[in-house]
Amino acid sequence: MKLYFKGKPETCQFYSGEKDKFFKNSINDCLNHKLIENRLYPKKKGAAPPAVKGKPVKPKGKYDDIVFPECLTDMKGPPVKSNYFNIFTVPKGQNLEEKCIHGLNLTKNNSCIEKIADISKALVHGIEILNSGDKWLKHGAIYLKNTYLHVKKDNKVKVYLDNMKFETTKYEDKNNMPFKDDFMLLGKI
Amino acid sequence: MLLKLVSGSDDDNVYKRPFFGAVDIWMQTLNYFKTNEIFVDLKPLSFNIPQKFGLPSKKIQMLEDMEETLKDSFFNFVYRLLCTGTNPVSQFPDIKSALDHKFIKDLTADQKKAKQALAEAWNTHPADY
Repeated sequence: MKLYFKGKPETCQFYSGEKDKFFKNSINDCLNHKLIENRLYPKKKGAAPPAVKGKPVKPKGKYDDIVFPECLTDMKGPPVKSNYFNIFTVPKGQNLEEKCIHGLNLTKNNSCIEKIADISKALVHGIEILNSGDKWLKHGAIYLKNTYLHVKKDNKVKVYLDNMKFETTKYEDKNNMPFKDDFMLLGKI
Repeated sequence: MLLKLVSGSDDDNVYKRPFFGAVDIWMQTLNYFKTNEIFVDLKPLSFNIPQKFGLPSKKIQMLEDMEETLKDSFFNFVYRLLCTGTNPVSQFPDIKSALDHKFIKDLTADQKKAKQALAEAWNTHPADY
């Protein structure tokens, strides 16, 4: 039997390989996440960058302001027969829904207006990554609760986009690429 | 989603749809803030709006002129995102055109802050002549 986490690992809910019909979707999700990571951090030919203090250095990405959670499952090795975990990294930073939504208590100090350009830019970068290459992907769940803002010490902004919904729909018409739906989500109220 | 970030509210009733343009979105946001006594300035450099926008003017301002003034602003950017599936005239035809919009292309938040500080310093310091 293979076990897959459903949602965040800390909830300790699993897919069952034998009983759960969504089991295969989870494997595909992981493959799709790896595809996105490869687009964001394209592998360059030649020697890998030198490690610093034993830690491997992550190659510079196409965009350094957008981050998608990585699937940590090792797909290269032989299939494990006992337990199998599909683990996604937890986004860093503050959830935008918690950070920016204050209703009538909104003030100049707790408003996210200052970072609105950086957030918008990062999200469009993310949508571009999803719509590049041969396989176009729609995020389909760009909401505040799925977006995290991480402001680094040097004031650089990173936006983490979580909980992507992978669809089985294949987008093949260039005039109707899935970015249109994601743009609508960004602009929607 | 981006409008929720600006209004700071997840209430769907903050805005009335459909929007008629960037000025309409700006106006509705301003009205929401005024009605609810929320003191957040809607003309900072973060929105890429000219400082003079919205101030009383001796000239009669046409809506087209106001739209033109806001063409590089956040509100125009959002309007065009929203039109992606509805209004073919205003929509972004591709992702590159969205990335080329001056609101996100011109300045990052830090650069805007620096520019604002420079502008404020210019106003407060006496002329050097």
